[in-house]
Amino acid sequence: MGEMAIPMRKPAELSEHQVTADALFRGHQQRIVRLCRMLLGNPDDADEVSQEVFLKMLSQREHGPEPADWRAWLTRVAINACHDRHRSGWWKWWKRDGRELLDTDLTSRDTVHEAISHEQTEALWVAFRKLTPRQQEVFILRQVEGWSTRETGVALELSEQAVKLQLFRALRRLRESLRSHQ
Amino acid sequence: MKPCLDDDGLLQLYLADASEYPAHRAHLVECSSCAGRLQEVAREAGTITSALAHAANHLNYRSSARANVFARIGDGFRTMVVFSGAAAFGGAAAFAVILALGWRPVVAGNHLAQATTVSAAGVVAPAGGVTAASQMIASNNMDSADDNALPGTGALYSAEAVSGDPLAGLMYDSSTSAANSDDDDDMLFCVPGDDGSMCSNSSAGQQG
Repeated sequence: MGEMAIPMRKPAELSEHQVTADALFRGHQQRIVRLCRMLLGNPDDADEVSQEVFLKMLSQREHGPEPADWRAWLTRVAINACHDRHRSGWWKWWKRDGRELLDTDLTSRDTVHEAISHEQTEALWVAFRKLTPRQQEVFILRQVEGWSTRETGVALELSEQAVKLQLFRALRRLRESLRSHQ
Repeated sequence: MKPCLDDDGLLQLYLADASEYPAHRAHLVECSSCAGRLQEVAREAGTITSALAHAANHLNYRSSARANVFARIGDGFRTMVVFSGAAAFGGAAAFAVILALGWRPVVAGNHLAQATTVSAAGVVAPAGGVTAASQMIASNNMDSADDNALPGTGALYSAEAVSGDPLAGLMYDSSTSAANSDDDDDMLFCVPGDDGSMCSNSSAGQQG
């Protein structure tokens, strides 16, 4: 008895809509997961939240108006989802906060870590986790994502001066942590 | 010429737009030391950013949890303290509510008072020198009175249950205690109306 043939759509038959959704996912998934990990400090939570973000993206594509800039939209949704996770999982968050630890892979030498030891990275991570949520968000958008001060201010609903002040405080603390472990 | 910039000034300059702090920028053109320190600030910021991004990509809660046993123990201890405190608080609150509703702890005196109250309806527990046996008698009689029936064969029952006199138990209480003090005696029948000699132990009654 032969196997039942399952009709498969060829890639060329995929709708433009679907291809774009895939491209959006592939283009932003790593960035969004990293953002969530930095904001939540827990890989499991970060994976869940990032999945929620992309589900919202699909829902937005289906039902809502298409945003002009998917990158900014996804970032804002991810930050809001992390806020929600903080609120809903306060117990889990409290229990784990400050206890996030780094994988042993972190000790692998690469271009970044030739200039910084594993202990320094761990100290930096702990110091980053102790920043205020606003300082973390500003640092991520300005430094990690490379957004401009104005873009960051619009996304976080802050003035440009406030963005600079938050980033100044965050970097000052991180530098202190780095230097104290040299 | 402006004095050299401190670390915070250099960091502010690093974060500022190109149009901001023109005086500081003019100083940097003339002071190679400050220019070098500004480059150091920029390099440090880049290192911090790269290290944190790399750490986020390699964050693994489970595998590292094994590595830091003390952190896990601390977590467990904090959890235990929180749940113990919550349980204690809940218990205290529940106890306070129960007390506020009028409940009082049941002690031996309350048993006696309760039994005495019931005795007005024809059932009484022997007063004074309350023993386990006398409580059993009172309890048995209470059941019998409720059922409006005579005590069953072999059951322990007090004198007043036989006589129907609620004071009978009190009358014969001293002799009851004396009779029960004998280890060889297992049961006592006292019939109100008879003299004290009738109030003897069961074995003596059988013998007589």
